[in-house]
Order: sequence, then structure tokens, then C-alpha cells
Amino acid sequence: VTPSRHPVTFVNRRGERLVGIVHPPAGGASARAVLLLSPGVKTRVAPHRLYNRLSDVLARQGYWVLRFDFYGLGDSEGEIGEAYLADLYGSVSLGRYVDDTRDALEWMSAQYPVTQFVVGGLCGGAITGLLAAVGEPRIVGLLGLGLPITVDGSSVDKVAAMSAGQLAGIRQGYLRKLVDPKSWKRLLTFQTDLRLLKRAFARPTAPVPAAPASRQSAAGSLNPQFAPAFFAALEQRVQMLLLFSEMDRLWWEFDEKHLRAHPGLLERFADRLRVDVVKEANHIFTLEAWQAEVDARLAAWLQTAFGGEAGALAGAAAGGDRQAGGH
Amino acid sequence: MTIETPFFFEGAAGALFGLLHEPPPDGPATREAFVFCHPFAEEKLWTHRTCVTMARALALRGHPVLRFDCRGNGDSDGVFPDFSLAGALDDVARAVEIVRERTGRTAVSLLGLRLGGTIAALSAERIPDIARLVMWAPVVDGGRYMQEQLRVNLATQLAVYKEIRQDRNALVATLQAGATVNVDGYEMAWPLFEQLSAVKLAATPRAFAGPCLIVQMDRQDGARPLPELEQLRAAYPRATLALVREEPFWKEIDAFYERAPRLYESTLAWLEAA
Repeated sequence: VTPSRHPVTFVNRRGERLVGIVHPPAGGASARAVLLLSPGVKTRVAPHRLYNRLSDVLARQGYWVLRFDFYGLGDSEGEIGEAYLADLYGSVSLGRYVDDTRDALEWMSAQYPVTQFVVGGLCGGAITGLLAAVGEPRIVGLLGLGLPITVDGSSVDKVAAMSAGQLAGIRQGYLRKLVDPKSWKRLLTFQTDLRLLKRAFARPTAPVPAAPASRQSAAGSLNPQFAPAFFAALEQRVQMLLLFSEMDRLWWEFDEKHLRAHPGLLERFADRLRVDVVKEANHIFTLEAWQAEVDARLAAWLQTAFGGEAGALAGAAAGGDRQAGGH
Repeated sequence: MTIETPFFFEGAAGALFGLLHEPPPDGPATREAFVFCHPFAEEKLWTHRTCVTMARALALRGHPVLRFDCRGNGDSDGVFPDFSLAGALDDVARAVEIVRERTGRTAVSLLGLRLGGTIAALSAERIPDIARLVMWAPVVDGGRYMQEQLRVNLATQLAVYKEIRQDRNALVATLQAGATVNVDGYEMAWPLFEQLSAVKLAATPRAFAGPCLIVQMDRQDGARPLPELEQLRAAYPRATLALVREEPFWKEIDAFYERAPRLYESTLAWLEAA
């Protein structure tokens, strides 16, 4: 059997063997690769095999693709100490798998004629890619699907950290339940989360006032590593495509707690930062139409940010030939 | 350390991805290999690590284990609409051939989780000389399970559109007309729906005559056996029903389920005793 993609293993700096799949580029010679980084615990295929689909899109665009399992997840070696998913997600947001990402980059550089990388993926894969990009000149692009800017954890006060968008959705849900006798029964028997109820209706619907960048880490459960990494990567001239789902709290958080906190951000970095929202989509881009939109926007961004010759970048790869996005 | 080899092998409908766990060279060796049958859709992803750690536990006890992805699943060829019960049974049969070829073991047993348990049960009646059968929380009533998948679609419609635009009947008509229905991002096609809807594992005596373990998992100690699993046990000539306390780790729960210790303990004890 000689499928175009092939399974690979490599050893990370902790001595653990990681398992992945390499998709060669259409057309053969290519100097650029994409590392698709696992989201949470959903392994190298991602929810509903999203990464398989993206790998095909990327390979057709002329990119090598490596999607692999971080240590302790999927088929890879290693152990995870966390007892709760939320704590695992939190550790990912704080850079748990940055070293694995850089080890994968080194391995790809040694195995294939690759000199430049786009990194990222969905959720945990997106923040891992961002953190790994800082100080790594070979990373020239970040693909962020639902980039989280907060830190999850079993001890995090989720009610206190909710965005105005989340609270608005909860408020609407409570209003719909006003006519439901079961909901009244739950309320009267103290089964309703009274704190959440109070917060949903106490908070003004207007957007949260912007927090200055220096206070990011103090604002709710914001990831203290996010903003510094975000700006450092942009200063490095990393091209970024940040795709969000309209019905995802991660978009509401990014919008309220980051974009609005930094007026003029999109204009200032117009040549390297593109932020798009897929209308009506949920966190994992469940519907086929949403996935097709992700495919299309990804392909368009690659074309705009890096040109259409990723599959045959002879001589150009080392020359920093990135094009201004002009978004 | 166990030896783990990822590879592709030829299936009837394209390349299938497999990962073979082999015993350490200096460890114990048994004559019996295992093929794992994976759960459905996102249940497969939530349970992935638990299956990996169980495969490693078996390999450390001398059993080679082949975990593999059916067509349209995981890293195997195909798209999800290609996934059908008939196709999955063909893929399991091919995986059994492969594990025999690669390990030299003639005794092959099947272990399946959730829908994988159902597929393992049906495969055990179809593939000659399956040694033992282990079903972890199997899907006994395929029709009910398919209706649950339709419910997932309805919930997504409600979340997205705030209304049901296609009810159950319309969804089934869509499938019958040759289109797909989205279940948590997976495009389910008519062959899978039709074939699984007809499966009622406990309704008739089962043809597999070898030793068989059925495991029921409950959140708390002291649970009673589910009637459908009692019925399934009775459908086999040599079946044991074990109850263990484990979280339903095939869906999103608070805990990170790297391993299922009571499930492993119960299964390994049965394997050693049977």
C-alpha cells in the first residue's frame, strides 16, 4: 500500500515517541510546511476529522503537512498528570505543548526540504502555535481556528469570567424558560444556579470597557501569555489568519477582551493580521457549509499571505518572500 | 516497553490505518492477539486514549494488539459517508488477517467499545476461529442508537437556527434520498443508518460459541444489570456480564480519562481466568 500520506514517529526532547501523519504536497518540491496541532484531547484528526480535511486543502495548495499527537495524547507516548479536562486545557493554553511543536518543527526540517512553517489549528492547537511562534524565525504563519485567550481550569470561576456575549445568550435562555413550569420548579427547589442567574441579569448588555494591555493578566481568566505572544509574533511579521465561529464564546472573548481592548489593532497590522468570523458556526465547525467556508478562507489566505507557489519555492524560501496581505 | 508500529494496510475500499502494539521482546508472550473495534464518531475520539492504554496493558501481558480505523474513520481512506456496518465488518475481517500475518498468532480475539462492541459481536460470528469476544458497554439496540444520532442533529438545528427545520421523518427521508445527515460534524449516510437500525443484538441467540465478556459501566457502585445486557448475556452460550464503576468516558465529562482502571482490572481478570 502506498498512500500519499504516511505515518511517522519522532522523539521529543523528553524522550517520548510521538506519532503523526505526513501529507506530502501536491506537485512535489516545497519549502513550506504546516504543522496542524492537536486541539485538546481530540488527537491528530481533530473533531469530525477536521484536520484530515484541512490537510488535503493544504497539500493541494503545495504545503507539506504534519499532524501529530502531543505527548500523553492520541497514540503518542507519555503521561498526562491532570485528572480533569479543564486543567489539561488550561495547561495547554499556558504552553504545555510548545516544546513538542518545536521538536516537530526540527524533525520536519531534518526530514524534508522545509525551511518555513505555518503552525496552528483549532483551539488548543491555535494557542500552542502562537506561543511556539515567538522567537522562532522559521514560523512565518499562524492559523488560528477559535484561538482561546483565556485559561481553563477546574478551579477557574467560569461565571465570573463570562463574556457579555455569553451572558446575553444565557439571559435569553432564562427568558425563554419563564413560561416553562419545570424551570420554575427548578428555581423554587434551589436547583437553578442562582449566582449565574444573578450575573446574567445584573450585567449591562453593553460591551465590557476595554482593559489596557498591561492589565490583561488581571482581567478575569485571561491567559497572561496570550497578549505578549500575540504582539511579539506580529512584530516578528508572522502572518496570522484568525478564524472564529460566530456562536463560540472564544470569539466573544477575543472580540470583547482583546480586539476592543486594542482599538486600531486590525488597521495597524493590516498587512499581516486577518480576523474572520464564520457566520452562525459553532466551536468545532460542525456543519459542512462552515467547514467549506474554512477551507475557502484558508486557501485564500495562503494565496494572499504567501503567494501561490508554496509547492515550488525554489530559492525563495530562505528569502523572506512573504507578501503583504492587504486585508 | 511495548513496541508500537503505525502503518497502513490494504482494505477492500482503500488503505486502512492501524497501530500494532507488540509485547516487549524480553517480556511474556502469549498465543492470543487482539483486534480492537472502535466506537462511533466523536465517541471514538473521547475514548481514544483509554483504548491506547488498554492496548499497552495487554501488550505488556504478552498479547499483540491491533487498533485500527475503519474506512472513513480516523486516518483511514475514505470519507465518513463511506462508513457502513457492512464495510466495517469487512474491515474488521481484514484487520484480523493482518494481525495474524504480522504476529504469527492464530488465536485472535476481538475487543470492542460501544458501537465497536456491536461490530465485534457481529464480526465474531462472521470470521472463523475468533478465540474470545469482549464487549465494553456495547450498543445493543442499533435502531435506538441511530435515533440518538438523529437527536444530535436536531439539537444542532435548534442551536443554530433556533428551530427544527428538518424533523426526524425529514431526516430519514433525506438519508433515503441519498443525501447525508450531519451528526456532530460527521456526515452519516443511508447504508449505515439502515444497516445499524436493523441490529438488535439481544433479540436472538448469538452464534458465537466462544468465551464472551460483556461489561456494563456505571457511575456508581451498586448498579443493577441493565435488562438488555442481561438479555445479551443470555443470548450467548458462554457469556459473563461484569459490572464496573467507571464514568461514561465515551462522551465529554469533567474527568480526563487516560485509563479506566476498574474496567481494565475486570477485563484482564476475566481474560486470565477464562
